[in-house]
Amino acid sequence: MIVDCHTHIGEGVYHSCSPDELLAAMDASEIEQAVVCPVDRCLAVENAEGNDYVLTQAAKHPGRFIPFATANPWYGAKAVAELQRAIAAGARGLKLNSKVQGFTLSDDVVYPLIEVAGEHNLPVFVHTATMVCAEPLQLAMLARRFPAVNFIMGHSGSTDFWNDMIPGITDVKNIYLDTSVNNPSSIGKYCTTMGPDRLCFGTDYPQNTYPIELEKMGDAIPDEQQRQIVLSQTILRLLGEGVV
Amino acid sequence: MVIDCHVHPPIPISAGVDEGRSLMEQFLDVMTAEGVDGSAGSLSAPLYSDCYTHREHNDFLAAISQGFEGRFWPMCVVNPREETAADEVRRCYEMLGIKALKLHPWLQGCSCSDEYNDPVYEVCAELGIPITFHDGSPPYSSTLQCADVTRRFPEVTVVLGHAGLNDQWRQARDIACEWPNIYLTMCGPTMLAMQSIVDSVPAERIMYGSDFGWGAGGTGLIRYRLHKVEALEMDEQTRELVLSGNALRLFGGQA
Repeated sequence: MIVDCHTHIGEGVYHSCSPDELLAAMDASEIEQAVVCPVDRCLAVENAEGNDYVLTQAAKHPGRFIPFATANPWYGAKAVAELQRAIAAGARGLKLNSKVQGFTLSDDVVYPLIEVAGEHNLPVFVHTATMVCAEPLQLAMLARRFPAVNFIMGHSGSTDFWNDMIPGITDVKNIYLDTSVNNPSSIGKYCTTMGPDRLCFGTDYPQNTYPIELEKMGDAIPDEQQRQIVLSQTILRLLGEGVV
Repeated sequence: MVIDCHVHPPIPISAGVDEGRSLMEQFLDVMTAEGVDGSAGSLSAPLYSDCYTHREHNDFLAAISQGFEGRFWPMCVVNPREETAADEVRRCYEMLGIKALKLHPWLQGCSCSDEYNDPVYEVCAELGIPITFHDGSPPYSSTLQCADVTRRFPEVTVVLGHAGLNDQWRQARDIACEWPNIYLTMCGPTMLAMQSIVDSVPAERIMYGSDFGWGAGGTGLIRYRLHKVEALEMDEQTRELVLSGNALRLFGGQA
């Protein structure tokens, strides 16, 4: 079984992906489920539109799409209300991208949204590896402040933050690593150091394609049992689906 | 044919020339097995700020590259902060036959915008030596900082070694469309980003690279980056230029 922890659907400015396109790609590579997040402009400003879209598509395709909602923290109380609305409508996690949403990952402006995710025991997926606003150690600080919330680190610090990963992230146990974009040797090293139950397979589709990302996982984690944990079990556990 | 224009043969100078040449052969054979016919690149060690033996490393790379002409094109490395850096680039070109320069401003601790680089850039302009920069990493080697060298030194060909990575690829794409003497290496951006680059930038200035040999990376890195480029939608002429033609022209001296 394979679950992609990181995709985007909808009509964006810089990239778009229809549900049918994603499903076709998933089927071709035997991907059973995918976390679906809103696209760029919906992460930035049109939060409700993006949330409604992923929620509607997840309802249309039960067992295939796992909807993550977003809210731009600069909307303040409105952001909190929007996230609560989306969770009530079925959102299974929170997606944040501080690069697109214009805040620094460790700043207190985002605390109210993390508190909402924590209240509902939902994982928080965050983009990382953009300097100044989305650095791994900023996420580590945020994760230490909210130890009961599980965070998925988009791109696992790739490209330029490899130096920070093992010394700065290993001991922050509520941070999990998305494999998208990162190279096979780094993924293999993090799997060895932190354990496969700290890694989640992701593609950032449509940024990357399944055949190449899956080939990469085979190179990164040759052990089939460990790889299977990364390909599905870690994200399912974070979603509360009780996988051993 | 496939030419990888961004590699780092993982061969320590302590190996000595004979062993080094044997390791170079193994390195190239591994690439051949992955479908890569030739490559261009530098050693890794002189790209770190604690290297004080660039001349020795350049001599060593030239020596272990002998016999692999047509399969490997070496890039010299200098520390631009050293007063002798420009002379060393000239020596590499004239005495060692190394006709490309690699700089990693971030790891070398040398801002590529600082004027202490200028003598190096002037020699490269005079001799027609292309400079491959690690790019995409502020504040010493952001994509536009590296690209700006061609504005100040229009005779210098700048190769952006990572085409902006994940955050600066749009800047790499746009500056390569604006200025003529910039090449982009498809080595790091996502497939969607690389498709946008291929759709926008003149095909004559896009190349494939893997960064193979850097760190402890295995052959998976060759496959990961090569298969991404091979999967891009492009016509056959563009494909040939990206995968080999441009690198052969720039590094291999083929017209």
